[in-house]
Amino acid sequence: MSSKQMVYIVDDDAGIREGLGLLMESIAQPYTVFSTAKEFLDTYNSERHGCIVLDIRMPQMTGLELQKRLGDMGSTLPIIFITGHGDIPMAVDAMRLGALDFIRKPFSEQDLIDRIYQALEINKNDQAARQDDKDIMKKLSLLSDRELEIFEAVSLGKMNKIIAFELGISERTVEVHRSNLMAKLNVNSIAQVVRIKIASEMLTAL
Amino acid sequence: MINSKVRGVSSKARLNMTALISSLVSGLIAASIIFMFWLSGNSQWLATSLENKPTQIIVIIGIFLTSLIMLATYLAQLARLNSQNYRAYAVRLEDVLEHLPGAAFRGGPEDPWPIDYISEGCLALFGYHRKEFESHKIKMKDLIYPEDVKVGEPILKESIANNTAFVWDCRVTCKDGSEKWILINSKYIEEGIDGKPYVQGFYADIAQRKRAELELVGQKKYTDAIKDVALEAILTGTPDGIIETSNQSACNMFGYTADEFTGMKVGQLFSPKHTAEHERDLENYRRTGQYHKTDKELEVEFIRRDGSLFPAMMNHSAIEYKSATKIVMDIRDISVQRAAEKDAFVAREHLAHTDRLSTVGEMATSLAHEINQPLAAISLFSQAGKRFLTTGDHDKLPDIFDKLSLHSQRAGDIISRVQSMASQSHGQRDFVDCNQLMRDVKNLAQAEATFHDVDICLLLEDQHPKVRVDTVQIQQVTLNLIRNGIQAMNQIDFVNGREILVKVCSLETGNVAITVTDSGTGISFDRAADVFIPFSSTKKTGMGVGLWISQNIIKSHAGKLSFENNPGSGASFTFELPIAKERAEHEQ
Repeated sequence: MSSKQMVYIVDDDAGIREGLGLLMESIAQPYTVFSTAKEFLDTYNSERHGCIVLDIRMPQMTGLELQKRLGDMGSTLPIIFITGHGDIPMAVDAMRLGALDFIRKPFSEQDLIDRIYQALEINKNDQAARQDDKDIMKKLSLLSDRELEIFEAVSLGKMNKIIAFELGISERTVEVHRSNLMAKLNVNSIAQVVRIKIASEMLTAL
Repeated sequence: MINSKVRGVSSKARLNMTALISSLVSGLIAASIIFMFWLSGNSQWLATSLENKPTQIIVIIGIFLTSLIMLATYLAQLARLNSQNYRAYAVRLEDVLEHLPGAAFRGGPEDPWPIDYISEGCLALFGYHRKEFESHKIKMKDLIYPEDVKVGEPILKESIANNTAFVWDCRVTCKDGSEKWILINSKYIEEGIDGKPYVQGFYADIAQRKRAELELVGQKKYTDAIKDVALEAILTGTPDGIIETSNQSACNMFGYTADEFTGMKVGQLFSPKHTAEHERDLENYRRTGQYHKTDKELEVEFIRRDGSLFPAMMNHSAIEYKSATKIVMDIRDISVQRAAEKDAFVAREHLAHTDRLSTVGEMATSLAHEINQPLAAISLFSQAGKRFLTTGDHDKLPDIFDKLSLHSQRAGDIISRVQSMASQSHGQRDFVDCNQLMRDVKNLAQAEATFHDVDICLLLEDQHPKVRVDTVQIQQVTLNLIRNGIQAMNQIDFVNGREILVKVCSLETGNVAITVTDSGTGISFDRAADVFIPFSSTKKTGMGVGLWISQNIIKSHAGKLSFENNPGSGASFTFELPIAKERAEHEQ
């Protein structure tokens, strides 16, 4: 998965762009450069993975503005800000808005590389988590309405007897549905059912 | 004495007259007796006494007597005519003396200078009658001013000793108490007619001459005084460079005395750097006889007696005096003025420098930012290069080294711009293209502009107007205007845009106008009067001397700085500088 991760470099200064690019090349890290925030936004899609190395101070649209826009668009790409002398107030704003970190120019490349790796790791985990979520939702979508009712009831810890009584069906029927849904969800224990329930509740709450 | 001679002449004439009449009478008597004898011949008494004598004897006696009578008559006639001549002569002499503008005199040389004879003119001259003089009631010495007597006495003694004419101006007191200048021109006669020594001559009224003379002396004194109080050194001389006269200022200025100046070569006064030119002028004069002169004042360096040099403005002109050409040099020492100018210049430079330093200080953040960019790039390139080395991927290394060099250069450029801003200017003027000047200023202001996300837009002039300026100072002025513009726009959060326009425009007046336009707050009506007044800034940062210094700088370049509010928003500051036509010889 890491091979698909991209470092998006957004900086108005050609020298820094090129330098960062070469540094990425030297660690064999795929990267793309953008000279303005707008250029990045114009080509943005939610399939982008990796992290953004973003100059906080740029003409027309600043790094901070881009961060806000990306947030609005639901992007979870980790952002490492490049700041200069005297940009601390802006950096603080950036951190408050959820930036991963900021690094001051002129910086130690090892620091930067470490941050980038960290960001990529976070992004990878994030992506993995997202994949799990997707799997859960997919599994849940396979359940029939009756199975879904019984899934809800089981996850609440109700006995088969009670479920049968509440739904007005036989205890035996409940047992059949129960084994079917556990097979569909690919779980072996009630505890696993409960975990899926919690995860699904969190996802629907989002 | 002359009078007595005239009297002598007239008494002699009278004597002659008397002799004439008596001889005539005796002649007539004798002639009538002879005639009676000759006619009658026989008077009893005669006949008796001349009885024996022949008639011829009687005739001879008669002729003899008649001749005698004729001679006597002739002599008498002669004497009468002589006397008449003398009288006419005396009358004419009297007339001449009477109408003489002054008085002829004769008198004793002894002390109170008694007058024996004086002509009628004395009345008009002194107000005293001749009788008053001739009766010795008035003595000449009493009339003459005692201080003048003191002067005159030795002259008189000397002229008596040398037997020369005694000519002397003195003042006398007239009868009415008034003062009068007279000329005494006389001679000492050792043995006069009557054997006594005397002095004779005439007194002339020279009041008018003396007045004119005094006036002339006064005028000379006056002009000399003017010459001497004049702050300018005034030297006169010949066209071939020999000094004739000098004034007090010249003595003070150069340290020579007036005597030393006289006869000195004017070339000695010029500093060595003018020597060749002066020699050329002199040579030119010797060849052509034409004195080279200029109407305008020249700035010349002179050398004092002690060898020190001083700058001065010199005017020299040729005048015709007594049919010779004279040169008048008028020299004004401007060393004090120069020193004051230099002081003012140094003060202005110092202030401008302080302002530049303060500007650099204020721009520290944006400059640090700008310098950080290439430094960060250098750091990235070198790290990347190091990594490529370890991975054995050497293909990119040449490119990386190029980039390293490029960005080091970039950092160096920024630093040298800052350095030039922070450096002390030495007042040298360079021949520069306005367009290039503005491009450089844009670079200088770029850090600040980038920092505030402002675009500096240059509108240059196709004609590439050139100016002769202190580059650093003009950059300082423009940078100051640009920064003010950015601040004015920042104050209103850039609501009207983020652009500063710098326009270069050649004017028909021979000036080039450089206008910096912003879209900021503009200049409020009540602030307009204070804009160029130091320490009147409304800004929170800075000394508030920027515009004042800018105006000083532009003025020192013979230009002007002005401003106006734009029709829409913001203000435009314009400074004009004279367009320089040609590159000076020493400029490359």
